[in-house]
Amino acid sequence: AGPAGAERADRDQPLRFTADALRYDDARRVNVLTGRVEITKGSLLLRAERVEVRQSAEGHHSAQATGTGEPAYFRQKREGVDEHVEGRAARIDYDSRTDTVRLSGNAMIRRLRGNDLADEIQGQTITWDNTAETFTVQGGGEGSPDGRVRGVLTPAPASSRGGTR
Amino acid sequence: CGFRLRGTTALPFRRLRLGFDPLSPLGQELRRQLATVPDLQLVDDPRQADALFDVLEDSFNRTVSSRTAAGQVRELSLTARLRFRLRTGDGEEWLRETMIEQNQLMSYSETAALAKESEEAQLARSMREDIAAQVVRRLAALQR
Amino acid sequence: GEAPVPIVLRAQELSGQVGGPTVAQGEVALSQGPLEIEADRLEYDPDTGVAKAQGGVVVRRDGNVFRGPELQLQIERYEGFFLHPAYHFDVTGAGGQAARLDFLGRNRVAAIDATYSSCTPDDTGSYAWVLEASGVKLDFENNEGVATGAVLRFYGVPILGAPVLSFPITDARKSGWLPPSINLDSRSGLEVAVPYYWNIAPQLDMTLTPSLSTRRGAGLGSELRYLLPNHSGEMQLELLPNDRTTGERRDLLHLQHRGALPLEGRYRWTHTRASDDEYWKDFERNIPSLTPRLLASDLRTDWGGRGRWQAYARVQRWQVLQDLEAPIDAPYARAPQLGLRRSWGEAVGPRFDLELEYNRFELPDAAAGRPEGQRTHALGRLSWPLLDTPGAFLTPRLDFNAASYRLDEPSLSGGRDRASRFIPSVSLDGGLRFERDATWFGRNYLQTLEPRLLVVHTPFREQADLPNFDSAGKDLNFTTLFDANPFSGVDRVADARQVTAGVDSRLIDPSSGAEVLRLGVAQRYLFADQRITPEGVPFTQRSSDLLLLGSTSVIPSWTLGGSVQYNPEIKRTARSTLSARYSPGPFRTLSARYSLVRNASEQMDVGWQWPVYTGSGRGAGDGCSGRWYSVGRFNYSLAESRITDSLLGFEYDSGCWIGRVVAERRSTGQQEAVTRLMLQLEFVGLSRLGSNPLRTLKDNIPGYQLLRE
Repeated sequence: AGPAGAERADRDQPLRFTADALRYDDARRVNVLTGRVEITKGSLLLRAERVEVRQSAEGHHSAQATGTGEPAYFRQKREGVDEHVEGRAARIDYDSRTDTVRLSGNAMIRRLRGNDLADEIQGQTITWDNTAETFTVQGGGEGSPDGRVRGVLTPAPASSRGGTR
Repeated sequence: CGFRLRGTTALPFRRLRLGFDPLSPLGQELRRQLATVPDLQLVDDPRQADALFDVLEDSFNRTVSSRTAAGQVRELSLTARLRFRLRTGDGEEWLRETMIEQNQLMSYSETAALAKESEEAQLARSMREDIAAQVVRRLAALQR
Repeated sequence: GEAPVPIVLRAQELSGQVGGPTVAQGEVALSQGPLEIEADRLEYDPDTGVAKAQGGVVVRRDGNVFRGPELQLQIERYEGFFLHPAYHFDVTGAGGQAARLDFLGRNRVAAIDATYSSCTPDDTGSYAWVLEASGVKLDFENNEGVATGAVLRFYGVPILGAPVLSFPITDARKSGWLPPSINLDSRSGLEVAVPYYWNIAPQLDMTLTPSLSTRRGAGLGSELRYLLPNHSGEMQLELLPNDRTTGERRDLLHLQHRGALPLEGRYRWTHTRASDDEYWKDFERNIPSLTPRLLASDLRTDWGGRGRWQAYARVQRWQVLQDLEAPIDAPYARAPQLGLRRSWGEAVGPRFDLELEYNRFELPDAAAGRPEGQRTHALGRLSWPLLDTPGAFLTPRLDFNAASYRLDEPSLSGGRDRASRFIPSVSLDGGLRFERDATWFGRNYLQTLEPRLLVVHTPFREQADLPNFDSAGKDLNFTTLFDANPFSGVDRVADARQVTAGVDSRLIDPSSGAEVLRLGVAQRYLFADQRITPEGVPFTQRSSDLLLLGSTSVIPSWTLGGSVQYNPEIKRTARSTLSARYSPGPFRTLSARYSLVRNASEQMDVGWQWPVYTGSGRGAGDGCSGRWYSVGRFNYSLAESRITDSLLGFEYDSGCWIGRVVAERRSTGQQEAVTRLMLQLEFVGLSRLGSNPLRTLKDNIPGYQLLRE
């Protein structure tokens, strides 16, 4: 089974957001949204207390979500499979050009098969490439005692497994 | 000089379950001695007991303690040993593992094997009576 | 299948594709249920469920540890291989290295070019003992290790080579070779025996012990044991088809069976038979009976015994291994003995006990003056306690001993072959039990004082002419002094008009109720001569020997005891024993006993088990220290001023193997003795069952404790 990509359409979907307040910082040419910010782009959902959104010339967006009390949260559906990927971290950076999400600061990423947990990985920084559907996790966050990454993988039930050796 | 006649034995429990093999002679002797203790009932069902007497070892061993140059046994050493523990009705340890041992030497001759068999039985009986009496003293010394 | 167990991965860095292989790098630790894998780098493919690990790989599961450079393992089915692993099994405390190890499911592992040992390698990397095999298969479920092309080396010397060698992985009973035992014996020369234990079925096992003796030739020992719900038993046959020193067949058969009978009955059958009279001199180790020259064959059935009545039937025969220098008159055989016992009355209050019995007494070969015949007897005891309180008791008793004889030959006086007699006996037993709080040796105790009196009147009944099948004089001790009849058995009842007085005092620790000291004195006073006595000569003195008894454990880890029988007539002790035992801890016991029987024997016994050297030996790193223990026992006869029996042994526990060397010298005649040297190796983790020298030690050394018990 080839890697199932995220919803292809996400890249081309319009970006919508709701927030308590919106401020345009002219000097840095950035929109700053604060207060229960929620950004959606196709099946991608980003939620945080404070998000800075920048739009590049070619029309790509990059968002930097940070949460002081509550960690920032993101969620995205995988294409063609009844699975979701979600994650939270102190800070989440999304770049629609490379379609990657970078979580840093006590980061956690989770894959759900339907609504039961398939895999869950915690670490200091996690980079998630949406198109190639690959992830890299470095260094444990405060949660892990020995500074190592911690991942819990749940093998797919034997029945749905691919060919065995 | 301060001596007084021994009074009745008071035990800190009312329903005791003895963990002896039903055929154990020591068990029967202890049962006989406990029968004279006022308001003590011996029960078989552990659930009804407020004291559980666990038998860890109830053995009677014979070893040769002296023999002649020509392989004739001249003296046997008889050892009766009881290792036991007492638990409360709900299983907590009340008296930790205790061992009481009695040893008795008996002369022996092969020709008198039949007679020595009944003499050994009489000695074993009195060793058991002594062990049972010591057990009753140990139980009486327990605090509630 | 049930829900898959999640896999927890921990590493410095994790990367991978969703649904595809995940790669973990840097201090990787994977755990799933009981399985743990550590490595520098690990790649897990959820599709195939296979984990590939490289670099310092460690696998831990159910107490077993595998280390090596490279591993591939299908985690759920636990199948895969490990290159150049080293392994250690907690359950046996042993391990080793191999070229390759294959995991074959949860409980099976197979290794190629493997070594197996419970020793830690010394600095040169060599093991004290090691099992090298081209292939080792371990099956933890059936607790079986099988080594193919195996060589067992002890300090480099191959001592056992076998195309196939199976050994137990756990303590549980397992077919396999037991540690070989090597004996050097002044009568049998060098004898090597290698027992094979065959676990036939959960309730049936057999031990076959082929042995080779330089002087006597090849022999085979076999022991079959069975354990059924209602029956259990052992059958042992020691066979030497052709003893080269005598040219005859030498064997010993020993059977022991016990079990249940209908109507809550029980039977017990023990039978021991040796091939010749010298058997006990040459093979005493094989004889399971306490009396090496008197072998019993005894079938006994019992009913009741719990309630008020007991019925029993028995056939008891004897084989005497005769030695003309020190002959033994065979005891009578009971063929059969049928009996019934019944008691009336409660535990407290009046009580009547009755025994009715029939016996047919026979001898293997008729001997002069020892008639054969039948006896029917009745023993009755009526006791009527007048006073029975914790502080005082007074119990009159009426006993009767009635017996009627029918002999095969009319050897009784007047050519009669029949006789009977009825002997009553009246006794009054009374005593008081005093107590007080007293301080002794600076501590307070409860001290008891228990005077006791027994008055006995038994009329004289002529018995000299009657046969004596089962009676003999009893030793004089506190139990027999307070008994009406100095004879044991049924055939003889001594006339008696006497009173026995005694007092017994004990110190009891009030906090625990434990008895720490006991002293006792008793003596018997006769109002008339006693005409029937065990010595056969009327007893004309007015008082018996004075008996003193003492024992104490007031000194921690010491138990002292002594008894003195003082003859007031000749103002000398007739018999005395003094014993002391010091055992401060496990494997530490020292005991000494002096016993004197005037004009008969004066003997000193010393026995010990004591650590000689407990310093840290080789491989002390993991607490496996070489400890030397010495074991010994000496019987010294002061009368003959020579050592009659002696035994000296050394045990070395190096942590992964235990060596026992035991030298034993047993006299087998006035001037004859057999010296025996027993050597035995026990490899911890390969086979844990001990062998014969242990029984010798356990029987001979009071308080001996098996190492590693």
